[in-house]
This record gives sequence, structure tokens and C-alpha cells, in this order.
Amino acid sequence: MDLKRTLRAITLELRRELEGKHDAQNNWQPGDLERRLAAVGVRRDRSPVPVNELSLSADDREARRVVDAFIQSRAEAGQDREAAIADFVRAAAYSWANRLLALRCMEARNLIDEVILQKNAYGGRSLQHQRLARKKPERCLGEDDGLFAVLLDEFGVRAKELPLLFDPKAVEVTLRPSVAALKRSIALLSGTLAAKGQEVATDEVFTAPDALGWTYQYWNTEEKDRVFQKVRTNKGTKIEGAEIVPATCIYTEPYMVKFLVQNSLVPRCIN
Amino acid sequence: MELSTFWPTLYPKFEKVPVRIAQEQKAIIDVLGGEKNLAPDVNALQLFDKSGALDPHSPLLDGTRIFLASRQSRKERTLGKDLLDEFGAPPYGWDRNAVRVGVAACVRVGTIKILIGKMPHTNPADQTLQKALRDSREFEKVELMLEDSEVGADLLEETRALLMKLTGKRKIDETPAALHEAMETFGQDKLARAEKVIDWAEPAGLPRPKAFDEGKEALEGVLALTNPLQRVKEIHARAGDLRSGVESIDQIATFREKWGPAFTELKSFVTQLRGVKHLLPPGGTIQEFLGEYEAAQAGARFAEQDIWKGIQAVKAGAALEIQTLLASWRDEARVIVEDALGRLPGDLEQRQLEEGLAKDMAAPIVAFGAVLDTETEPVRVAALPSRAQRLVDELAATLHKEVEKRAPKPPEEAGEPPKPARETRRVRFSDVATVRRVCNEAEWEELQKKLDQRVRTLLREFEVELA
Repeated sequence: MDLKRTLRAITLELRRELEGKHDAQNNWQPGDLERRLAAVGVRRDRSPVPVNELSLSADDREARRVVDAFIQSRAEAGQDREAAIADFVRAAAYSWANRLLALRCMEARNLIDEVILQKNAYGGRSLQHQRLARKKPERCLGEDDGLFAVLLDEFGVRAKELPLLFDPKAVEVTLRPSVAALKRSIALLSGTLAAKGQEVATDEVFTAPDALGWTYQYWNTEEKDRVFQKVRTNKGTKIEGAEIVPATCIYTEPYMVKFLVQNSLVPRCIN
Repeated sequence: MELSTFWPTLYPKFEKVPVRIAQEQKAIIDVLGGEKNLAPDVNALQLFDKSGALDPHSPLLDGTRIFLASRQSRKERTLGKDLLDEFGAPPYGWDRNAVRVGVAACVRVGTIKILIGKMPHTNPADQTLQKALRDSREFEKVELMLEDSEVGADLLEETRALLMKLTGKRKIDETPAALHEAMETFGQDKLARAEKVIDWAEPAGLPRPKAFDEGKEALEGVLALTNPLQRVKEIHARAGDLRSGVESIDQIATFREKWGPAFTELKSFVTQLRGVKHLLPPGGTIQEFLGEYEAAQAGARFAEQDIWKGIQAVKAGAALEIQTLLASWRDEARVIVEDALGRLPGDLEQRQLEEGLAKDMAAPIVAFGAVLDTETEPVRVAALPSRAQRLVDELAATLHKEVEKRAPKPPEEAGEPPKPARETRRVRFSDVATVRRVCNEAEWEELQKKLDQRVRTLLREFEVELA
């Protein structure tokens, strides 16, 4: 198995699933989180639907409040509504994918009990999900079978060590993906579903020392290609705003780090 | 967009049980009766695992259990209708017939009991129960009660945590079957290790800690159980013995591998020292060493690192001290021997014996003196001075015999039997004085007077030998 190809395919599918993608004609196809945003009354191309005209769950009502506040703050900073929504969706997709990936990497390294990896032995759930189903079956009665409950519990626990990564109250995770999208994302990471054209992911994919570094690079691959394509085809186009990050974010491989350190810090230390 | 696009959104749990049961009446009877050859649609429900046992992780059974457990925890009654409505509607959309077949499977293994008119029914062969499950209208009215015969979630989690700690492996599934399997491999390995330790420890004289034997017994008890549920419960119940026992088995096995020969040597060193214990100076390092050894022996604590290191450290001091003692005992013997050999020419001359006898008479003492340094065993070395003294006594006896041989025989009177030889009595200073230390001339004179009196008294009847 080519571990990097598998990791790349999973990363790109996660981003497409959660955030969306540009199709062959370069038209934007919204992902699950943007559809979820629409479900709570927020769309790029029209005014928001008043909350009292919608039948929202408590979680979705909170998500709507957070999104409205986010868009408002961006408007005050001079950003237009569409860009603000795109930013929010991008941040939410990144945060969800990042958290799921980080948990998968931690469990593959035996640092935590499995919360992503699903097994037949647990009826297709992860170990922690199975525990929740056995100990608190009432939390697993919803359509998500308790999946959000177990993830948010784990975010809370992990936030004690990694508060920036797993803050359960972070704005970006207030908007939850749909159950179907979350299950698909977890299935990709768990190895119960293969990314297109690839074998299913195994623990080896996530235990590689540079797995997370490459993931961040792959996350921006399509976006980077699109930005450079735009620069090549439209003369005078500048890379700016949100495009700067994907165009400049390149994973530094270990041999590069070694070279840089040996040729910069080491001579200074010796002298 | 096609309807199928929205299906996963409307029924996200449908995919777990995407089965329709065509002949549910037959399926229910088959499942209740434990039929092996089930219809393909019933098999598709995945109610049973490969061994034919009910698979509690089957999505249908798992969903049923969760639903009933959560309602029971809220003290709500659950009718058949509640169950069918729950799983027939979003997010499930499961076939209502399949749900009844699932309940039949749970009844078969005793995890659900059916209350018909408040009367509990648990026997799968019970006609009334069968009818209640087969008839969908009747099923809607019966009450379902979960009888959790499985291992509790906390117990399972704690048992897995224990096994992970014991085995050092994290990849153990939190299921009775996986824990049973992990314990089997681990337990057999530990028992084999414990047996090897016992085979060595008994002849080597290493006492086994109580935890070792209790741990071994716990392992044997756990492995004797072949039912995964029972074994998991037993592991949990004997967690303390297993934890301390396995630690003790590993500790002693490691001790044997690392220090086995050193312990055997230590043991023999102690045996040697015990032979001369009565001759050892009080408060010395050897006494301290023997004290620590005996404490470790009594507590069976040799394999504890601190204890072993402590004993090893004192042992080095004891070895030095015994070497000094051995040298002093050898010197004492050598002095006795050399003094006797030095006196021999004078003794011969004094008794008017030929000088040429000296060689033969001195031979045993000379031979003894030659091997003095070859004795190494403390008990034998400690006995060297007394052996030397005995040889000197024997030399004296030989001298005496030679003198007697040369003495003119008294003329034998007719009819008168020869006079028997007089007995010999030994006289020591301790016979006449409790305090043998002489501090001044007056004391010496007093002692001389007592000794003189004692010897003279004895000489009336015996010959006297001064010791």
C-alpha cells in the first residue's frame, strides 16, 4: 500500500465532503457543512432566514447564533457576506477534519482508546462509542446513534492536554456536519470505506511520523492547483486573501529540516 | 435528484439492518427453536456469530438492547408496539417483521422476557409466547423486559484495562471473547514461567512470596473457566491476586535469570558461615549479613531489588571479615604446631630418647602444617587450632609411650596380677579459677597455689595432664 497516496486521497475526500469542491467547470459545489449552514437559514446568495421561521434543534439554534455573530464581526471588518460564509465553512471543515484525523493518529499510536476506528467486534462502532452505548444507552437514541456525544466528550477530555486543537466550545465546531457526512468521514478514517481508487486505510497510514505534516499539505493541494492555474491563465492576477495560505503552505520534509538546521543553527552554535 | 440521494439523510440507521423478512412466522419459530438452517433473509440479520452463538453486536439486537435499556433506566414500560414504532420510523426504517425476529432471538437466549398480561414468559417452547411473537397485533400489546445477562460495561472496561496492564498490549478488543482469548495466551505463558521458577526455586532453596502462589492459583482458576463471560468475571474478581501474582512471577523469573547462580553461591556461603556462627565476634559484619539474610528468607524477599542489593553489599563485607578470621585461625594452628616442633628436640633430650625419633614423631604435625593453607571451608579452618592441639597431644602421648617402652619392667611377684595403668585426668586453669585473667603477681601466686593443690590431690589416684 502506498501510504502517502492513501492519506492524500482520504484528506482530499474529507475536504470535499465537508467543505465542498470546484467541479471541472470551476463551479463551486457546496459540501456538507455549507448544506448544514443552509439548513440553519444561512446561504451565500441570499439573506438569512429569520430563526423564528425555522424549526431548529437546540444545537442548530446555537450554531445559527454563532454563525450570525461570525458574519457580523467580519462585516464590521469590511468583509463581504459571501466571503465570510466561505471562511466560516472552510474553518469548520478544517477543524472537524483536523480533530478527527488527530484522534485517529492518536489512537493508531495507542495513545488513547479508540474513538474513530470502528470494529465489527463493537457492532460497527468504535470502542468508546460502544462503551457509551452500553453505559448510557439513552445518549445513543438519536439519529447519530450517539456519535456526536462520544466525539464531543472526547474533545472535552483531549482539550485538557491540547486546548487549541480540541476546544469543545470552539466556534468552528458549533456547526455540526450531518450524521451521514460524519459517518462517511469516520468510515474513511476507520478503514471501513476506501477513498476513491485507493485501498482502505490501516493504522500504518496514521502512525507514519510525518502523517499529520503531509495531511496539511494534501489538504491544500487542490486549492493550490486552482490558485496557480488562475495565476497562469489570467495575467496580472495576484495571490491574495485566503489564497495565500494554500499557495504557500508546503510541508517541510525531515531532510529539509535537517539541512536547514545543519546550515544555520549548527554553525552558529559552534561559533 | 433521486429519492435514493436523500435516503441516507432520512434514514441514516437503515443501512444497519437493510433486510426484509418474507416469512416472519416461520422465521420466529425457527429462531425460537434454535434451528441451524435459517432462511437467507434471517441469516442476513446477522443475529448469530460464526460459532452459532447470539452476537450481541448484531445491529438489530444492539439497537433493541439500547432502546429497552434506556427506557428501563427511565422506568418506562415498553410494549411491542413501542419497539416496532421506534425501529419502523426514521432514522431506522427497519422492517417490523425483522424486529420481531430479533426479539425472538433475544428470548431464545434469555436476554428479553415477555410479559403477557403481566405474566412473565421466558420459555421459547411456550406456545403462548410463540403466538405472541408470531401474531403482530398480539405482539404490539405484550411488554418487553430486558434481562441483562451480559457482563457489565464497567466490569468489561476494568477487565480490559487490567489485561492491557498485565500484557503490555493495548490492542485488545473490549469484548468477552477478546478478553478471554488474550487471557488464555497470557495466562498460559505466565503459568509456564511460574512452573520453571518453581522447578528452580525449590532445590535452590529460594522461598516464594505468598503473592507468587496466590497469583499462580488465580491464573489456574481463571484459565480453568472456558466460558468467556465467566472467565471475564473471574479475572475481574481476582484482579488483585492476578496483578500482584504476575508481578511476583515476573520478578522471581527475572531474578532467577539474572541472579540464579549468585543466589546459589550466596546460599552456600551462608551455610558455611552458619557452621562457625558460634565462633563469630558479636556485632560484626558477618552477623549483620546473616541477620539480613534470615530476614529476607523469612519474608521471601530475595527477589526484591533493594533487598538483594543490600544483601550483596553486606555479603562483600562479610566475605572480608571471614577471610580475616580464617587467617587468624590458621595462624593460631600454625603457632601451636611450630611451638610443638620447636620443643620436640628438648622433650626427647629431657626424656633421654634418641634424637633420631624426632623425624617419625613429628611427621603427622609436619604434614598437618603443610596443608594448613589449603583448607578453605570456614568450619574446617575454624577447627584447625583444635586439630593442631590434638596432634600435639598425640605427640605427647607418643613421647610418653617411648619413655614407658624404655623403662625397666618391675619384677613380677608370683601369683600377683600386674598393676593396672593409672587413669589420666586433665587439669585446666578454668578448673581452679573462674576468672582466668591475671592482673598482678599476687593473683598469679594465688592461682598457682590453687593449681598446685588441685594437681597434688589428683596425683594421689591419677596421672595428670595439663590442658
